[in-house]
Amino acid sequence: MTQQMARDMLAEIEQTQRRSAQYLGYWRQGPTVQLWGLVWIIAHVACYFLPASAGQIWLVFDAIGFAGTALLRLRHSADDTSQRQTGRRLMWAGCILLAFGAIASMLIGPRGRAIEVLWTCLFMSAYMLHGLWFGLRWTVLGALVIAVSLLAYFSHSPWYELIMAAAAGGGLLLGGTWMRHAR
Amino acid sequence: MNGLDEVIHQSTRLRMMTALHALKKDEWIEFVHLKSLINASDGNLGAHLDTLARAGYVEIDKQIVGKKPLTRIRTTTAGRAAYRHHVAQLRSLLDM
Repeated sequence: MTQQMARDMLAEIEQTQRRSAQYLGYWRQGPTVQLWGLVWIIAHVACYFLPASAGQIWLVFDAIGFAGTALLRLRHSADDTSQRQTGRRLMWAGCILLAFGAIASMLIGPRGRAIEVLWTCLFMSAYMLHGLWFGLRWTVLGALVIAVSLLAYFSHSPWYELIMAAAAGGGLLLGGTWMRHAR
Repeated sequence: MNGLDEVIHQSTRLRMMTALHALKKDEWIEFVHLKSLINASDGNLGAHLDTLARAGYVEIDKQIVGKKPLTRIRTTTAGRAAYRHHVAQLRSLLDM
């Protein structure tokens, strides 16, 4: 066994580790993306029929989404110290984004749809950033949902909530399925 | 062979053990998923899995789920230890 052969084998190991991390991430987190797709579809449809209760509807459905996400994450909680550290950093990154969203929402004021689109873009930007490290599918999905949300918002359509349910919620649902079946 | 593990040393088996080591301890992976992680054919993967199982490095679980066969694989404690030792030996070769 020469040093060059050892170097080649270590390179092969590194390549397999990268591919495994990327695909395991898709398979493990795909169900969470699907869950949020379902939450968005139901919440947007509910907002269409009960526009006066939009605030409460989102409060309830976001709570359901976060509880479901926490449950799904428990299934795949890391048993490796470095993975746990990464998990903690990601959790703090999420908290920073939430704080930023809350401040931006306060500054925007009582403009329901603008705030809704802001939160959508914020979460989907996080998906896009995640994709820079963990696989292109996250970036593609985030960019598509942001584009659809902005189109729906600026078109001032009376069907806004239904467009968001079908395109953004449906997009997440399909995107989650795309990740779960990544090969 | 320089303290290297002869079972794991073969290229496909090395990739298989690397992919399996990326899972949590005691976590199973389906045959089709492992196949796509290492880009191997069914026959090739099956033959190398048998070799790893005979060495006691992996466990294979075969079930029938909804009339379809489901094969799952996971590493054993001995398999994870052997893999880590093998990688450490490869790294030590670079330091010589």
